[in-house]
Formats: sequence, C-alpha cells, structure tokens
Amino acid sequence: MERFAVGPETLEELEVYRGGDLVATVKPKGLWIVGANGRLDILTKNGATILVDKAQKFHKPRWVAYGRTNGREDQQFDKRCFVGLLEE
Amino acid sequence: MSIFRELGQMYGEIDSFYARREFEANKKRWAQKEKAWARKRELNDHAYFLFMFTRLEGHIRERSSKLITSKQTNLRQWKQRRVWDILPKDKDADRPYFKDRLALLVEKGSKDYNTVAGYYRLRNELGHGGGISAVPFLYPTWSMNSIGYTAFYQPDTQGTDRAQCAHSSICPCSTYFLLKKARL
Repeated sequence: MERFAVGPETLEELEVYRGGDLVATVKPKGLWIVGANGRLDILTKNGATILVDKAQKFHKPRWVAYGRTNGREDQQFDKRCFVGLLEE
Repeated sequence: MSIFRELGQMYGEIDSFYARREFEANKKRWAQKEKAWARKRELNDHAYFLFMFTRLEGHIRERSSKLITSKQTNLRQWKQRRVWDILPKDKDADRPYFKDRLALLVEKGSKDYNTVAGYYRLRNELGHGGGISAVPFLYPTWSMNSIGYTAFYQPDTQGTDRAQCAHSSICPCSTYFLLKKARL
C-alpha cells in the first residue's frame, strides 16, 4: 500500500457482547495479504480465529476460518462456525 | 510431521497467546496494551512468514542446483550443454539469482511463478521494514447477513452503531454487536 501511495483508511471493528460482557472482537487486519484477498481476526478469550477471503480475484468472497480449535486447519466460515466461536 | 505443519503449529501457539492478551486488554479498555499485543502478533506473522519462505527458498535452490548438475552431466552435445555450463551448480552460489532459479523450475509468468515471485517481493519488503499487505483494488467484504444473521441497527445512547442480536428483534439471548472505528 505504501508503494502505491494508498493511505490508511478507517474501517469498523465489530464487538460482540452477551449480557453486557464482551465475548468477541472482529478486527480487519489487511487487504491482499499473502495467499488471500484480505484478513479479519476474531478475537475471543481463547485466542484468535483468522478469517481470510480465499476467492479468486474479482469473484464473490469465500471466507475461510483458521483457528486454534481445529488445529489451524481451514473450515468454511458460516453461522455455525461463528456461533461456535461465541459459545466456547 | 512436516516442517511446515510444525512451524504452523508453533505459529498458532504463539499467536493464540498474544491474541488472548490483546482481547483481555480491549475488554479492560487498555488501549495502549491492546495495541502493543496487536503489534506483537503482527511481528510474529512477519517472522513466521520469513521463516517459512526461507524453507521454500532453500528447496528451490536445491532443486535448481540439481537440475543444473544433471544438465551439465548428462547432455553430451556441447551446443545443448553450453548454456548450462556457464551456470554455477552450487546451491549456495549467489547466481543464478533467486527468480532465475525459480524460472528454471516453473514457467516464467505462470501462476506458480507469479505466486512465488510475489512471496519473494514481500520477503524483501519485510526485510526492509515494510508490511505484509499489498495494494487493494477491491475490498473483500464480510457481512453478518452473509452467514445468516439479521442485524437490527439502532444508535445507542453514545451514538455508536449497535446491532441487536442475531436471531430476532425480541430475542432474549442478550447478544448484541457494537461497531467501533479502526484504522487499517
């Protein structure tokens, strides 16, 4: 981004609360990272799950989750995966 | 266990350690500490990328060196062999340069070539203090809707965007989402 003079941009972080208690934070980390179109991290009290968009360029995003609970193997990011993270 | 898997596991252990602390710091609203742990995670990403790339680089050097040796040894006709004879066969030799070695193994301009050449460029940028993110030409997006959640946005008393839970506007699960601004 520095090479092409693309400046920093303000994006939103998402915080997830349950009963007033912070249970997860979703943080945008970067675009066009090594091996993927972009990365978000979901942080919980148990650590981080790394979400990366593995779609081909200019295709619909395909979010894949890498986390500690599945030995850093990838799994499709869907509602079940997200709820699983919140309920750990 | 392969070396890459082993490195991946070690990376994950360290990342989880830092991530737990980053999360706790955010929960306690310790902004400076949160930033410090996030920075440690970022440097850990860079370190393990460089570590893994070094392994790949070693492999490409070894394979290209074997190819050069094989051509120098097996080609009988000088006219065919002469282009190979001028290449050093030692895998630790400065030349051929890394991308030339790569081009001996995969077609220049092919998908594999471009992928590894891209990693090589990042490796050099990281070595000079750069980051791991490249130029965006479209934004990847992720929405709660895409994973089956419905958001019920309503500004809270502090003027923050708040989305009521996942399930319905009257769901008793007491989950809600809060949007904060962050610099990327």
